[in-house]
Parts: sequence; C-alpha cells; structure tokens
Amino acid sequence: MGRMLEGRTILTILMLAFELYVVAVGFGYGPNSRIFPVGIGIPTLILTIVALVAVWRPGLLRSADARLGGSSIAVELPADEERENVSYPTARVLRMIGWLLLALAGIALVGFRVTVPVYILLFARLEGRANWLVCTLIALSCWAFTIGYFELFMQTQLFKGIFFGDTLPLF
Amino acid sequence: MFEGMATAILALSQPHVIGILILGTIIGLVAGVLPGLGNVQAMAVALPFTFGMDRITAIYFLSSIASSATFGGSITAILINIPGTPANATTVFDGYAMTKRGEADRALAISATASALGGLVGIAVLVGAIPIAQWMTLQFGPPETFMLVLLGLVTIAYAVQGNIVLGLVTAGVGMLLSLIGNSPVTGVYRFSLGSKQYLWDGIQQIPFLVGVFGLSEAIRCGMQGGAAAQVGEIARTKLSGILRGAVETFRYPYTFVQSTIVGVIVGIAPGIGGSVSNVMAYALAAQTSKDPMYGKGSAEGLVAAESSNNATIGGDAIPTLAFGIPGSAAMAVLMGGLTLHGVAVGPWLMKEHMEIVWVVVFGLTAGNVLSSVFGLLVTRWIARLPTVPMALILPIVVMLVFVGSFAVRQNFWDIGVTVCSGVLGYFLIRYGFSPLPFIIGFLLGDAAELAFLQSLHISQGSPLIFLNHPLSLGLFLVSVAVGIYPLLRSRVIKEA
Repeated sequence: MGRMLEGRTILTILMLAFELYVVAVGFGYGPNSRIFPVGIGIPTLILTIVALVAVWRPGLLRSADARLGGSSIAVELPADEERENVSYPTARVLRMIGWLLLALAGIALVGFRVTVPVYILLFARLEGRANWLVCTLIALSCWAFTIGYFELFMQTQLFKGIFFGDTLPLF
Repeated sequence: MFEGMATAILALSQPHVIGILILGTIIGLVAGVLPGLGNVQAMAVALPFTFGMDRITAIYFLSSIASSATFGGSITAILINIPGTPANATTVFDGYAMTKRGEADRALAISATASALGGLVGIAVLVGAIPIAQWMTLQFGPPETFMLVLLGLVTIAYAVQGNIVLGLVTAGVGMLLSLIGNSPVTGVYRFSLGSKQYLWDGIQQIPFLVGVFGLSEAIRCGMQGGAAAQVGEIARTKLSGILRGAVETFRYPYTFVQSTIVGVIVGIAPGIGGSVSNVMAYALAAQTSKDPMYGKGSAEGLVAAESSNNATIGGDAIPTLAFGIPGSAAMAVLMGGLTLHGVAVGPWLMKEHMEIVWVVVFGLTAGNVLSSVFGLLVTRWIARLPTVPMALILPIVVMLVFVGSFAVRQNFWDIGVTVCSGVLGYFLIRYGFSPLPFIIGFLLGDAAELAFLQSLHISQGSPLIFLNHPLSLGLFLVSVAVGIYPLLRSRVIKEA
C-alpha cells in the first residue's frame, strides 16, 4: 500500500508539473491562443493539488468516490479492482520497460528488418524460456508477416536503421 | 439516410469486405479468449493496419473486432473458469458450474444465443436512436458542442470506477496534451516541449491510442509472465446439447429483456461498458429469479450475463456516433480509426457521413452474429489459447504495435510516442487512474477548443453565450449536477 501511494504521489506530481508548465507557458501566448489552455489548465491544476493533498489526507477524496455511478445495486467489479492493487516488483517493471527501450533502440540502429526477428527470438527465449525451435519459428513468422504486409503489400518503406543508411528525423 | 444505408450494404457485397469482416471477427474472438486482452487491445493493435484500406473496409474491420471479443471471453469463462474479458466476470458463475456438470455444450449454446440476440437488440436500439439523434444534432451549434464535450468528460470521470476528482484530473491532463502543437484556430505553435519539428502537428492520435490501450496492457501481461491458465481436458460438445441450449435461451424472456435494457442503458452512459452491465444485470436478475440453482449452474443466470454484455455494445455506439462522445474504450479506439480515415467525429457525423454510421451498425451486427457461430464451431481449439505463455505473445504484440505506429506516417518518433504513452498508460492503471477519461480528454480536446473559440467569436467575446442558449444552459446544468452529485450523496449518507 505504501509503495502504491508513493507511486501514485510521483505520478500526481508529474501531472502537476505538466499542468504548471501549460498554465505558465500559456500566459505568454495571445488571448485567443491562451484562453482555452489556461481555462482548462487552472481547474485541472486545482483538482490535482486536491488529489495530491489527499495522499496524506485520504478522507478528502472519499466524498468524491463514484463506484458504479452511485448505483444502489451492491455489486463488485473484480477485474479492474484487482488490476489496480496488483503490485509487481520494481525490478520487474523496469525490466519490462527496458525491453521496450531495447526494441526502440534496435529499430533506430538496425531497423525493423533485423529488430523484429531478433527481438522476438530473444524475448521468447529469455523471458518465456521456450525452446530455440519454437522461438525461431515465431520470430520468422512475425518477420514474414511484417515484411509481407507492410513492404510488399502496402508498399510502405519500413525504417532501415542508422547502420543501414537511414537517418532519424529531426525532433 | 437511406443513401448511406445503400452505400454500406453495397460495400458488404464485395468479397474483400466479407473477408475482412471474418478476419476481424476471428481477431476479436482470439483477443477475447486471451485473458488480459480484449476488443480494445485488439482494435488498438489493428488500427494502424487499416491505414492501407479504404475507409469503409477499415471501419467494417474495426467494428467487427469491437463486437466479437465478448463472446470469445465467454468461451474461456464457461470451459476453464477464466473470464476472457471483464465483461464476462459473471459468466463464470453459472457457465463453469454447468461445464462441471457435463453440460458445457448447453452452456455455450445458451451463451452464444443470448450473446447474439442481446447484441442484436442493442444494435436495434442504436438504429432506432438514429433519427432522434439526427434531429438532436441539428440543434447543435458551437456553444452546445462545447457544453456537450464538457458533459461527456464529467460523466465519464464520474462513471468510470474510482473517484470523480481523479477522473477529472486525468481528463484535464489528456485535454491539455491534445493542445500541444499548432493551434487549429490561431496557427500558433504551443507547448513544444523542446521539439522543433515533430510536435508541430501535435501528439499523433494513433501512436498515442495504440500506446495507452495496446502497449500498456502488453506491459502488464509481461509482468505476469507465464500462461494465463493451465488447462486439462477440454469438455467435448455435442450437437444435441447445443440445440437444446439454443432453444432454452427463449424460456427466460423476462430476464432477457430486463438484462438487455440494463445493457443498453449502461452502454449509452459514456465511459462504462460490458464490465459494469453484466454485473448489474446479473445482480438484478438474482433479485427476480426463482431458480434455486441461480449462481450454481442456472441457464437464467447465463442469459442475464450474456445478453447484457453484448447489448452494451450497441448502446456504446449511440453517444459515439451521435455526439462524438465515446461510449466505451472500444468506441474511443473506433473514433481514432474514423479520424485516421478522415472522418471528423462529432454532432456533425450524422449530417455529413451517414454511410459511416451504417457501416458501424452493420459491422457490429456481423461481428456479433459471426462470433457466436464461429465461437461454437472452434470452441475446443480456441479454449486452449490461454495455455500459450504470454512471453510468446507479448513480443509479437510489441513489434506489431511498433510497426503499426511507424507505418501510418513513417516517422520514427511516432514509435517513441507509443512507448511513452504505453508506459504512462501502464502507470495510470497501476496507480488507480482510469486511462479512459485521459484518452477521451485527449480525443476531444481539439474539438472542444474549436467550439469554445467559435462560440466566443459569435458572441464577440462574451462567455454568456454558453448560458443564453437554452440547450447549452441545460447541458451545463446537467454537467454541474453530475459533478456535485457524489458530494451531495456522501453528505446525505453521512446525515442518515
């Protein structure tokens, strides 16, 4: 519970920072450009501050609980409720995000043609502990579908990667 | 109206459209069978793949996925005691109990018949609502459109499970994110976050949607590791049992009607879907049922659960198509698909693109009926899918999501947006913020700003325009009422 509250606090602070950025920068624009961002930003900012204070004073938000739209029928919603409370070890969360970043880096460096099969092969082998034959078959099938559908059927040029002559567009 | 219907029917006569409907139904069924995935995730992953299709084929594809996953989830709920989607949470009570008694075929047939009929009733209500919605949308000018978006966001923030303040915070953040980039009204480049070029057009909807709905769920499934289920022998089905079950569904007309009404009403309320309607309908039927076996293998319980969750889909489509306020997460993805194919969604959709409305109606109908038929045919094979380890499915989903995000505009940074929104979506869910208000705020931000500024332009800067128009004032008052209702309710409960 403590960890969940800690994570929720960090997330709320990040949202608060973004709202402050929008409101502060928004005031620098002309009247027509700023009225909507500031008009939405300030109420959102106030509500976020309330949500942040509620981390230490949970009673503050209790009156705003809206389970099943206030239905008088007493029922439980198992799926989402369980999902919220499942807390995985931070190392596992970071490992999963690491896999995503690895895929992103792979695509940037060597493009889709290499990354798609290699990534699937490595993930299935290291995380799923499947045998090499199954991993290879899955990787090759997905590679064939990707290249077949996008490059051959839709005539889309997939990113080739920096090592194979493509350049990253300006951000 | 009939011209639009003719266009949609004509498209249905083309073999490639029929093929895409069947493909969409199979994808939806498979996603429904896999616990953790559902129609939202399947639609999010499939969305970029529609880029090369023509508009009508693409919407048929997405609509068929939207309406077919729920029955997929029923198959695993009945055969292996695992609800494939949250909309099948109550199906397990009676469905699995019947399987344990050796009546799996009967349970599946009741489920398939109630699903198909419930879905058809929901879609019939949608069709019946079209002329009313068409008339209503004619009354909408910019102030009413802005107030409608406001009401939609407040309702969604209220209706999704959790807390209205947290719901409004995520909706507000989603809306602010949609304002990044070139302003559609003034042309000013706003909130660039240090980007010189990429964010000029703002955060792209497709990579963002795919990340929040598709990748976030993939991350969550990756955390779980192994297979969702260990399945032993799957019960065999016989034709006689299937026929018996199909006929038996009609023995509970009161429960069926009651549950479909609950399903449709819950569907019309923006933001909540089958996960709520099946629980409400099941609980309501429990109060009226005289069956002593209710909850322990009753056909009536199965009818209540299965007719309501499918009826919800037609209800979900009503606010989406009539007003551009998504009735559920699946409809939010469908809205993304419409935008991707150049169809502006809002009160003007029924004025300008009636053929799209009919394509959604026929697509939902086809997916609903086909999924029940296909589901019964391939039950024994499809029920084994949850035994496949997630670590084999996950990298495929990740790669399809990345390729799809890239392919729409062929910009590498779109993949970056998908990763960022996927991670953000995961943490939102993990820490109790529903991603639905967030996405809907993001999808409606541009339209809300446009309507807001147009209103001020008409009134020469006076905000009173929002209160001078009766319909706009009415929508504003309802928004305020919905916003303060939880507070008043808690006061009343305290005093009592």
